[in-house]
Amino acid sequence: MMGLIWLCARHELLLAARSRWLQWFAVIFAGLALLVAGSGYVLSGGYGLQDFARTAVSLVQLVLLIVPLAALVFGSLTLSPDRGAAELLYAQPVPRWAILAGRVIGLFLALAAAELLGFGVAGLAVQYYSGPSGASQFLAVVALSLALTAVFLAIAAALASGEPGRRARALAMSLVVWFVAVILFDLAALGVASMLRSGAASRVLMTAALVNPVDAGRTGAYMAIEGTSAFGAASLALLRFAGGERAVAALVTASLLLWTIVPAWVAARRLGRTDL
Amino acid sequence: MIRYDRFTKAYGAHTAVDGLSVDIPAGSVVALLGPNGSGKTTSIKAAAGLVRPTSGDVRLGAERRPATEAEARRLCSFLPQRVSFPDALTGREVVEFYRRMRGVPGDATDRVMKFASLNGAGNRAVGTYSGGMTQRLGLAVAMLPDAEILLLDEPTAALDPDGLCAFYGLVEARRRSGRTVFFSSHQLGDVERLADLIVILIEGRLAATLTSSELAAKLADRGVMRVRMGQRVTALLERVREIAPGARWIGDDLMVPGPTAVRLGALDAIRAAGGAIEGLSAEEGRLDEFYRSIVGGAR
Amino acid sequence: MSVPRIALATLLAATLLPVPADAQVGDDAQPPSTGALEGRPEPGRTSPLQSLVDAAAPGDRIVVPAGTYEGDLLIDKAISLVGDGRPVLRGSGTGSVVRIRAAGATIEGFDIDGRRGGDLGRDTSGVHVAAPRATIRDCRIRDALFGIYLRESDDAVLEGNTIVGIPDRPPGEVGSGIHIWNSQRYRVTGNQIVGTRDGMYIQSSSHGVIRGNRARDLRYGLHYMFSDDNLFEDNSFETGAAGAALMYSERITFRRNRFLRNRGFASVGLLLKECDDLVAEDNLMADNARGIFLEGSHRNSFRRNIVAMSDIAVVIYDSSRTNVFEDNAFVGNLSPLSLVGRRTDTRFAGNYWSDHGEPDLDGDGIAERPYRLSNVFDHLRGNLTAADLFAQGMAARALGAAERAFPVLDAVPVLDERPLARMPRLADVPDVTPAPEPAAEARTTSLWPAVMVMAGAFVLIAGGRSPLGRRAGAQGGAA
Repeated sequence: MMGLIWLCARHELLLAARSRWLQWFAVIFAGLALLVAGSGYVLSGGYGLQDFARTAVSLVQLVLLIVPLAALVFGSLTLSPDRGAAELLYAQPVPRWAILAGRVIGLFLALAAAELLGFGVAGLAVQYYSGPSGASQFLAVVALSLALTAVFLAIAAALASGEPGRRARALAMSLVVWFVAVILFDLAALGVASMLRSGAASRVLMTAALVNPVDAGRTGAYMAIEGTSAFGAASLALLRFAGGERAVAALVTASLLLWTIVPAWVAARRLGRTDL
Repeated sequence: MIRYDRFTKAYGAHTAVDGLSVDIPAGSVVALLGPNGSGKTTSIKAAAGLVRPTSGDVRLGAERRPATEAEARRLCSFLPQRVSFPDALTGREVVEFYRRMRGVPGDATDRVMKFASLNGAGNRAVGTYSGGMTQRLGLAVAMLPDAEILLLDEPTAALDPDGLCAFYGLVEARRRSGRTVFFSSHQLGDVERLADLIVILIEGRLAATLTSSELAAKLADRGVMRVRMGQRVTALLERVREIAPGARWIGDDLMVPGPTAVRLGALDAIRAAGGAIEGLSAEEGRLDEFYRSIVGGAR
Repeated sequence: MSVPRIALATLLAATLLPVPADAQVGDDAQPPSTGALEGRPEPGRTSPLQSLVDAAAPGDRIVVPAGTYEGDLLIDKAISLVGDGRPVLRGSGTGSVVRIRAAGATIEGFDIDGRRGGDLGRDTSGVHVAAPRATIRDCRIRDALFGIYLRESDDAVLEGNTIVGIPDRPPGEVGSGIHIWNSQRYRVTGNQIVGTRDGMYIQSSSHGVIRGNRARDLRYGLHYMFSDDNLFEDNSFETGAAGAALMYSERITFRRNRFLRNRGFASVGLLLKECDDLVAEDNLMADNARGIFLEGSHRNSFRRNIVAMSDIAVVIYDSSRTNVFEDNAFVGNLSPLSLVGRRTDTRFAGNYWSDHGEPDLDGDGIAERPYRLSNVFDHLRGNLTAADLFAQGMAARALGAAERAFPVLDAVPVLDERPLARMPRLADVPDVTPAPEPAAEARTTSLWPAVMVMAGAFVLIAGGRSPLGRRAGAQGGAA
């Protein structure tokens, strides 16, 4: 079974690596990462303040925006079972979930490779400008990026799996999910919080910051990069709310894990019940 | 080998297949015949495990496993009606992928590529293939495993002449080795040529199960004889209509519908009336008329 | 699929730093101990140099040759004690190593070892001074609770000393590098302070000059209260929980100082609480959690400073009045202003804001549109700390954009009416000197980006090569 899953993964990776789409993503992502890394240096008027940690913080913004979008779009376009190809594929004597798992793994590898390439290029640039330091923070961004890739691929799989031959619909839904995850959810949380008394509002915001995978990723990444200074006094409030930094790390990890496992499970279930 | 037991599939309010019960015996070549939209594809896909029954079931093999189980699909090799492959892969890569998926030994790739007349195009990207080549590639994938059951949905619809040739060869080979072939078609030619048994599906219901010669006879009964006369002979039509009531003139040709016995009688009548027959041709009954007659008869 | 998240988990667990228990900026003013001054060390804990001091007459210059001298030393005469070849004064580990009790004494050129001992409550120090006109020059003090302690010692001169704290000891259990209490007209120049609790603690001590010192890797670089008319020039306050925290003081001048990399969770480059009439010019405040913090402080003036790479450049409580920010450069800050309260009369004029992005059409160096420092989100976060969690999300930006489109959302905006279009040349602002990094670590970390590039490229390139066709292709060729 593992061999078959890996075969599907390898096949999907082959397709992804040859797709213009992914190649463009790799180029654009590397370009943006380079821009982020370089712009801090330029903005600071050559004061050389942009070290790894600072770049990491700026890269987090880029990652939070681009990575979910790429995973959702690429995932929903690829995983939406289209007639002809999917019929032949899923008629093979392999459980559908295993084929899907393999495909998601393949896509993950492809996107992860493109992201690593981008981060690496940015890292080389930062090193050139300001010398190495803060590599662990930089790796935290990479981890964030990979985690978000997994989360949103799983969500894309869940969206696409129930819609055979309706790729456009899956794509549209994944764009809606992206918009909600990146902006609307936070706006709603802030809106609700602004109407509550401060104790309740704090709890709402801190819960929100852990529930939404994008927010959880951001919270985790900033705290990994900047330690407790990440959100000023809010960090302290969050640590108190969660029960220490290990608890925050555990909650962030749990949130991201759940957001991967549950959609993946939904995807497998939906695909299993779909008529292809 | 394939057993449909009150298999029903509904898509919302539309019932595609309604209570289909039929047994496809092992070692036979069976055609699923019917007009467009009669539920052929749904039935075939149900056997391939792609479509889950709304009620009833479809079971495969001696162990009668439900077709939706992955294990049951080991018995099957399925070719969809219009197969497609990722443009970026070469034909050989496609076949290799499915070969590994089915656990077929490595030399199979070359064999099936050659069989599907694709050995020259094996290293070209599928994106450069014509429609016929793509379908041939599908055929190559379908024949990779020596599966108990070969399931094909409208195999001849998209095949080019090379592909048809390969397809006929494949069915014959499977017949010889005692495998079961179950394919859908709406083309009489394939059916008559290949099938031992013909399952007729109309509006989602099983209309008839016939042998190939039974079908030929039924169609012949619905044939039309065209008698070319030099000129219209008056009163001839009345005489012929006594034997063949449906006879009519089309130009100077006399059209005589009906079974063989009727036709012979009609010819005698023409001769007796002193008509000069300049030419004679016969058309077999058309399938749609046949379907209509079955439905009419059923009502 | 679970590999990346396990990696994240370990990373998160590994890199979330422990919270310093008492790193909150607060007014924890420390009154000096009321206990008796340390006098002559007990016999058996006395330095062999004591006899030289006892034998000397006021005005004598005693040169001490290289060597290690164990025990504590009382200087109760106006003498000069000068080390030749850096002799080591190794204290008893129970009290201050050198105790200056006579006006006009000098100690110079020693290495002083506090042996991690003593008692915070008794102000155990490397050099403890309780007399006017002391001079401490070119001494290296380590493992002492306090480095140099001035107690009611006016006109002291502290020059070119290096003070290294006690490693691995929590800030609550050590004292400050230089502790100045009730001592006027001091000159503190060219000292290096590393790893103590606070770099310089100054309380109720006015008219001093603090110039060219560097304090790093500690809690507060400068902790300062009830002290007026002091001058700070060319100092560096780096990598502390806060750079400089100043409270209840007036007429202080800051010029050409560096406040760098102060990134505790409540960290500030320069914090003013109830400080009035301060002038800060040509300073560099970079990579701090918050650049400048004003609470209940009036008539302070900030000119030609660079505030860069902060999460929030300026935090202003509306209890602060008539402060002025002119000709500064705000570069690469995540957020320009956090206003706590409803409005402020702080004047922002002629500053450069790197995120402004408005053109300068008439070429006068002033952008065509005013720069808006405040936004709706800041109102929310000013009153609800947890909102900071979302400060760097898209929602906060969307709110900012919405507000620019619908100015009604923010009725009383904080504006810079004539923002500079280009980064000004601020020649007097000091450069950043990068924090020293251990060479070995640099070598290992520098591999990461290259490894990432190679790993990514490998997966994409090897992934795009067919593993599927090769074997059969070879077999086909052989057949």
